[in-house]
Amino acid sequence: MSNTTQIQTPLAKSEPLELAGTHLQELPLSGKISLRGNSSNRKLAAAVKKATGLVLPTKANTFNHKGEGYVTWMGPNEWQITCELDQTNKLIDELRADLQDIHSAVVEVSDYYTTLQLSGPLARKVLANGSAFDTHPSQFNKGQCTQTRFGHAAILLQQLSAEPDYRIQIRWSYAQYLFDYLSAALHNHATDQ
Amino acid sequence: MMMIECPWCGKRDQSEFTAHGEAHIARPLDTFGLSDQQWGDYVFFRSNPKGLHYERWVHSFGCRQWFNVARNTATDEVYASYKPGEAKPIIKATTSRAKK
Repeated sequence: MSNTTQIQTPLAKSEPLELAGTHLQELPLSGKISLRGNSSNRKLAAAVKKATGLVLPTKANTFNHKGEGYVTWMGPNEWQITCELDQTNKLIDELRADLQDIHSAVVEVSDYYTTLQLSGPLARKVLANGSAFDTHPSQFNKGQCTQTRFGHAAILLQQLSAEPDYRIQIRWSYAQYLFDYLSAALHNHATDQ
Repeated sequence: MMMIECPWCGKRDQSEFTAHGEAHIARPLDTFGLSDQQWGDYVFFRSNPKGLHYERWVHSFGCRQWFNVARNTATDEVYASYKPGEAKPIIKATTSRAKK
């Protein structure tokens, strides 16, 4: 019997979409860790810096990233750390070891969420189809993130570049709903052009 | 469309929030000495004014933090948002939507 488990992402059967220069696709599964703690405790920021090499963002709705590593502000005492899937356990062990003396929590949430990429000139219009959140560059730009609502789903939206290039993180069970909604919106806007 | 200011995330659409009733209702400290009527008042009775109302909201689709909002129940005008533990802001409520 094989010891390896094949993880199939929720959108494994949904083909990536490219219309009018705008891309929509599911990204390979990444490791995700939910971190709770008090940001004024220096040990917390130090442990995150040591484990990920990234600065813990304390400004609301911002994130820091390098390659596939992300540290994202989720709330005044909550962050999400994203990494390569095979690094997850190592990272969790390191964080737990460094944070054992302070009031904090490190929980793996890798298979609770999946991530979509939406990028290109129509991306803002597509998002506006299901969300009241203002993605105009004067309000939301590179390096910023937010949790908001798209249709009936709660999403985490991150902007990686001015193009714009978005990452949309969604709960596993809502992934098909979101993908279908986004692809229908993209089809509509692409035909309108 | 009603916009609410989250003290952490800024102005957002109302659909991101959930309302949780009147704010600043302290739980009685002497719970053993309370009469049924006093318990009833604490658990069930709310002021329900027309006009200025201090209420609790939670940014359920956002940062998931609780906070307080001063809102006009007749016009839906939001006067102020403030973090839990902060003092009630004193607000001179207007009744017309036109006045800021």
